[in-house]
Amino acid sequence: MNRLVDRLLPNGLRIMALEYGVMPMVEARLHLPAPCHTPADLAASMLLATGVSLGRDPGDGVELGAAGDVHRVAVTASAAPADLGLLLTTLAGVTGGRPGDLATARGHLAARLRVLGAHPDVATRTALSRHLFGGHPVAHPFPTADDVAAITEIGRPFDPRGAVLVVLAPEDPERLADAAGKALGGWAPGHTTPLPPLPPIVTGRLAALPQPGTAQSRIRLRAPAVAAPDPGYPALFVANNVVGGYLSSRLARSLREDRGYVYGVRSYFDPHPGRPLLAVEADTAAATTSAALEVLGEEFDRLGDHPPTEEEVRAARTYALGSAATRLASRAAFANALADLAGRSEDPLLLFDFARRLGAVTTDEVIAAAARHLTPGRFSGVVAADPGALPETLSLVR
Amino acid sequence: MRRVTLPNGLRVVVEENHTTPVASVAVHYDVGFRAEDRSGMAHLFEHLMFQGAQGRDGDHFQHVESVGGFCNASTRQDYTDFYTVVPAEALDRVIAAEAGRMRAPKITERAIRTQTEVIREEILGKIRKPYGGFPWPRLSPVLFRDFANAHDGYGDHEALLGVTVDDCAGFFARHYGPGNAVLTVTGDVRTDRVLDVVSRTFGELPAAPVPERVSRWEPEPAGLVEGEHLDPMAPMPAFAIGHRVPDPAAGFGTHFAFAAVAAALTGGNRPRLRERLRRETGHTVTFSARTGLFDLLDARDPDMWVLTAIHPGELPAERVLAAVDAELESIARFGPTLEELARRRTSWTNTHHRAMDEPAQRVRALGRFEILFGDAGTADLLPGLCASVTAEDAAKAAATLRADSRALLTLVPGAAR
Repeated sequence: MNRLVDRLLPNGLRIMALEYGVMPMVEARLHLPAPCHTPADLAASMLLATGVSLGRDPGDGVELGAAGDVHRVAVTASAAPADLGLLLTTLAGVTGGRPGDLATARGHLAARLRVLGAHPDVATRTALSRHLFGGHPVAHPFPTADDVAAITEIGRPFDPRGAVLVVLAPEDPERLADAAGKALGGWAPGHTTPLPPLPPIVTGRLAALPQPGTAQSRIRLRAPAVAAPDPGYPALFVANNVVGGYLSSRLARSLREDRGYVYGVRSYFDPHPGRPLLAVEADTAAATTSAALEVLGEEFDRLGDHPPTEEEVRAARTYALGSAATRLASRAAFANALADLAGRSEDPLLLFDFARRLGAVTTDEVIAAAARHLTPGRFSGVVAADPGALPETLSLVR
Repeated sequence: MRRVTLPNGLRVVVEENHTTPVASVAVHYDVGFRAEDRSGMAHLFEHLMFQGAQGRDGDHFQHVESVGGFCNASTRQDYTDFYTVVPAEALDRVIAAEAGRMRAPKITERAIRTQTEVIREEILGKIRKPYGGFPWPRLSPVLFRDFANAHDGYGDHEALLGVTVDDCAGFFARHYGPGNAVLTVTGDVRTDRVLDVVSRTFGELPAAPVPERVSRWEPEPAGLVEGEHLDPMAPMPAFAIGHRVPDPAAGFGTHFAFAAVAAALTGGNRPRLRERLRRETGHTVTFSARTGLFDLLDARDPDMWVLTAIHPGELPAERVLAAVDAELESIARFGPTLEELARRRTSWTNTHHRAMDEPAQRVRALGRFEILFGDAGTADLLPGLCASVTAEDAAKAAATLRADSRALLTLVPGAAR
């Protein structure tokens, strides 16, 4: 079961075909590197992605979706096994970098950006990107309506070098890989210029994003972390679970179950290529904003005085190991997990070895990872709130 | 699939699927927000069930997560479901934890206060955003008159502030007995072993009186009933229309016919409504439509067919609505084309297969069809029902979506430039 075929085509495309499950559908994910140096590049990428999504009617047998960001265009496709050929030729068509009906795509994207632009969460995300990476292209995660309107023609063929195709189906992976190679082998190399490397973030710097009248504040924190291939990653992964990675975590206990300040608090890996970060995020009513920030600072302090216990580490590791089975059980979820790794420029093969690495993590390693990475002073970020809801000094360090 | 009923009235559904080493458990209680007399009580009680069982350390989240699983719950019109997915070897512990909280949940004054605040945060997050609370829960009071159907089932913080431990004990005694519930277990399990464990845990619970099923039927709206909602964050105007649909218990096929109308109007990459308005006005309107307030066949009678449109301010709502009625009239007269029906069939079936591949979705679907319609097995009839919708069926459905018997909720954007 789960036989994998992993091939690099002469044109640079990596094909990973996996036999997985019995449900009669093919799941494919295509990671297309598409570095956007300017807002115009980003507008073009997002228009291409919109055009791809509109270009195929799921009623024809292939459900196709695409999303573009500063780094890439990520394509999702699924079809019944009988439509595998159509699915692959459709993906081959995407690589040409033409949006189909540009006017339609523009109308769609403009409508979507208009709604997104009104969402306070999007304003917060943008402010956070600027705060962390101002001056780098990632600091502009969304194009403006004008950026989109200015684009009257797109022909941006994607580059197969660095692209990854993941195909999962209930059938022979050799046959899948052969068919994929045949459909995409003729894709000619293009030309892309990688983005400049992301600078390290400045730690310990919190900024307010004033949103007068906002009933619920948004706390968005980031700290430097390590990437999945790093030997220290599994221990930090478990430490992250202990702190805020699940509902049994310290932060969820403290902010939600004990105090009712939040519906959800999350900490998770935010993997910017080459600059991995750890994220802690919570939304809380204006009236509880200062108190929630206080609790966050306290909990990170407490990690020093009261490091993760044997029992906490055991529970967090068991949860992580179990999630590898429960969260990835469906073929679509497994395909997404592989494609996510490709999307952050990491090797999807890491997924297959992760359980072994997690199982080897010791409590001492988790304590060390927490002490090194999860101290109040390492977090920077943005708190979007009504100015009256904020404490006088915005800091997790007490 | 095996279906059995325990002596205490608990209905049990077990389905084996050995594809991945994962087991799923769902408990559906026959109580949704239509059964509450205080806005949000059913939702609050759902939260409180996660305090876990009396006499056990830790809450339900900790029990499930410490064996490597995840769990969640939802409160709908007519049911509340609790679902868990775990590595297969941890199944027995989850069954014991579910039986424990069905026997006696740990409900304290402090937990009630805390979860009331958690719910306030949950609702703030969902409502205070552009088009938050649109169409649900804002459309329900326009289409319905009766409190059960019309009120905000998400929750009213003010109303929940007065909830006492006694209120909760009463709610539990009325609605959370084994005879009012369905237990579903699916995945990498052995049916006989599951039934053994279930009889040693759930089987030990005493039977409790089962509340009589109350009909929530009310007359359909006479004429056009209108409502207005000011959304301070919305950048563009929008509207939602709601129509009553026939009782699903009388046949699921009709609901698929209504869904086929929704698909012809708004589904696929060349939906009738968007294409028509772009052709005629040059504007892009974002439509969506479905049968069922939350999902297809997710509630008993009465449920609704709902269509929403977010449109540029330059294009008046009347103009958009006229396009909706013109297309509805065309479908009522000529039906959807055979091509439209075939496309709908293909895309719905593919989506259904993908959804059923997700363990949590599969276990929830089986439990939901058992609790709402008395037979988990009907979940597997859905692709056939979707395939057998004819143009005539869809035409008949479209003919009932009349402009003179409709709820219309208009969203006034506060953030319009």
